[in-house]
Amino acid sequence: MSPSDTAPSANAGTLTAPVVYFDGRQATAHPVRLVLTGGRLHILGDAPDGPIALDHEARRLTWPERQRHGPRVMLLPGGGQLQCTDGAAWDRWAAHHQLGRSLAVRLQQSWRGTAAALVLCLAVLGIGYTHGLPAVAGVVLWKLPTSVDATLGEAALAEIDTRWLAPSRVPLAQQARLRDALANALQRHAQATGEPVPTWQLHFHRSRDKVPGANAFALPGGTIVVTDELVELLNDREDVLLGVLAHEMGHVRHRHGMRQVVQSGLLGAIGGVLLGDVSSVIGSVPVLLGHLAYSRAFERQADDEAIALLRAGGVSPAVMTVLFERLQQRNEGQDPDSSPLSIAFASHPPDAERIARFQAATTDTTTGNRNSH
Amino acid sequence: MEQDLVEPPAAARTLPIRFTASGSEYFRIWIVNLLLMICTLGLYTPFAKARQLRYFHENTLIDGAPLAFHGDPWRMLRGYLLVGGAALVYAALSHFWPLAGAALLLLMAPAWPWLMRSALRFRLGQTSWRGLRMRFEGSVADAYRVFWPIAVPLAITIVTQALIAPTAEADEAADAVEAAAPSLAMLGLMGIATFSTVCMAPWIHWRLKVYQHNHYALADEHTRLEGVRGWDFYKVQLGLLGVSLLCSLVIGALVALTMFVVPAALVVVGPVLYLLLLAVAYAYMTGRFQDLVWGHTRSAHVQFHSRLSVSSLTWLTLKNSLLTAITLGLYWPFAAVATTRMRLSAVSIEVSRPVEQLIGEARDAAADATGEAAGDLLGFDVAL
Repeated sequence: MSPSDTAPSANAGTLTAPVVYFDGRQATAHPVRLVLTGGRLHILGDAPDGPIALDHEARRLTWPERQRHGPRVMLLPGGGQLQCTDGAAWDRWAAHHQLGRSLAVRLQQSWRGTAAALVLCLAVLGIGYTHGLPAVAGVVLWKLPTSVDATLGEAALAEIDTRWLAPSRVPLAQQARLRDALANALQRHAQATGEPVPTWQLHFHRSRDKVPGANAFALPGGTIVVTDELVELLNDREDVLLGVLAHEMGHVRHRHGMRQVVQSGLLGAIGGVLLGDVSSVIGSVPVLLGHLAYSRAFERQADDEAIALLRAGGVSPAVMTVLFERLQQRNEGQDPDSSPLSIAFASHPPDAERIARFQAATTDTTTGNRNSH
Repeated sequence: MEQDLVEPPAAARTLPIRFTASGSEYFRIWIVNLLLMICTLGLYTPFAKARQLRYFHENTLIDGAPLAFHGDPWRMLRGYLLVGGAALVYAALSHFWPLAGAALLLLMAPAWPWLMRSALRFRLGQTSWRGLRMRFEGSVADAYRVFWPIAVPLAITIVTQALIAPTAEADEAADAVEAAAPSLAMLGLMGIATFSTVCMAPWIHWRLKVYQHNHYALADEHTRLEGVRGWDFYKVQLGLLGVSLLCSLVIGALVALTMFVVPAALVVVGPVLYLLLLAVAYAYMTGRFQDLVWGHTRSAHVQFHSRLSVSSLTWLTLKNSLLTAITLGLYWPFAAVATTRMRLSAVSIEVSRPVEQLIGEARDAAADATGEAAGDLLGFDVAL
């Protein structure tokens, strides 16, 4: 290589900044010259024990990323490395030959790119949370046989029974009446829409203490439990009771209990991976947060079922406002979240939105029997 | 001190250490890493780790020459998946069956010294200076020798804690006196085991540091940790206790004062003072241990010194914590760079022979990356 040959193209191929070469066997620094021609990187210099003349295919090498400060270090196959303290000159030279610019580097080179990355981060997280997670949980649930639901539900009922429930004092005749009302509504709904009737069992229990009080809840596998207190609260309005049972039936039909378990588990696992910590308290915070948010969507679905079954049973959905009023009177001054059962009816004090939906639903029944949504 | 210098003392000089990283640049790397990690549900993590290590290494200039990181992210991915899978299994298991979880922990715990050594070998083996790779030369057997005294008390602590948890719940429902009796003996055993584990911890920590610092190597320089005894580690812990108590008293007084004067301000003052306590504890531990351990590390021609100012580190840590909290975590990259800069500028390296004379040894570069992944996933920091 004669230094007097200074055609413009050869100049652009030569890096005009001091570069040092280490051969990986000794700590001696060898000043070298780097030339890029014909897709190959030539490393040329003089060492005490002979001249240095290496070359590698440029695209095969791992080019260092562009930075503002600091030196550039390029590792060579074969154990040597190149170091250049003038980072800016190196970057210009490498960029001129379209080297060393991966997507990651290009994103982080500009503040606009970085800001976009940040916004994208949050967007992906948000969408994944609201849509992605339920979708994945849905797939998992689809694969999960319903026998798993039944086993989980039995275990849960046994646990809840031991802690909070006692044998019911509701007259058997009333129990039978309520069961028949629900069965009839389900039958008519099934005939009208073709949707199958899910497996269900209705249990009546008395509440041992203030918890769960006047309440109803559904467990995986189709077990619906109604407390004596709730039956007494609505003793004169069995049509409203039907609405409550229908609401719980909504949870059963859509497997909300199982879905809750799967989604919480997934959220905990993903949160743990992202936060780099699988078993600490921090990992369980996303689960707790997700717990509350998902229940809203489930309640809406269950309300839809209540509206549909009430109509099928010839009852106006607006009667549910009676229940909401009575519950509010009863729970005046009490913390609505005192129930440890997240999916229990009374854990979610009805807000104006839910009441409005029930009232709006009545306008359809006045024009005769209509198919529910 | 033994005179094993070959060159005359005139060749002795101090290598300057410079850290050229900037917080804003690392922030950009960090944000892009975060985005890619989220999009790939965590699979990008080894690649992110490699980029981060490369950035920190290449911006650490010792005597004008940067460190280089050689780690291959694809090998790190393999180790990461292995350890990640094991961690997920453990978390799932312990959620449903705490006793099985404890059993799994006991089964995996014996692998810990091996994993730690692997992480050290990987981290050092993938680091080079002036083209020469560093090495960790500690043996597996020595790694286990570090931990064996604490193995039995730790095992008993884990088992008794797992057994006691469900027993406590059964007490509420069963309401029987017989349920209390085994609890008492168990509680006693757990108490003794936990107490002995805690008392032994500084001693084991010292054994670990001796193991680590006796086996670092670059070319034909092999480090040793000289002049540090186990008691020195207890002194640091006792010092920490004293400093924390003192700090707590001051903070308590300040909190009481605020409550009497401006109770509303407690919402702000309280957390700030708590962060101050944490900052003091962290700075004291980090500073004292860094000075103690690195200040006594030397090899045939290299002597390390460390003089970290605990008060400077305290204020820096407090500032970092406050800003990180206020910015919901976005300040973290800046904090990391600032802390690393302060810790590096406290270190100086004295050499008594020309560095160009270092000659590397031929060795196999295929160190196992599994240990590195374990250290990262389980939060264990093997950073020098």
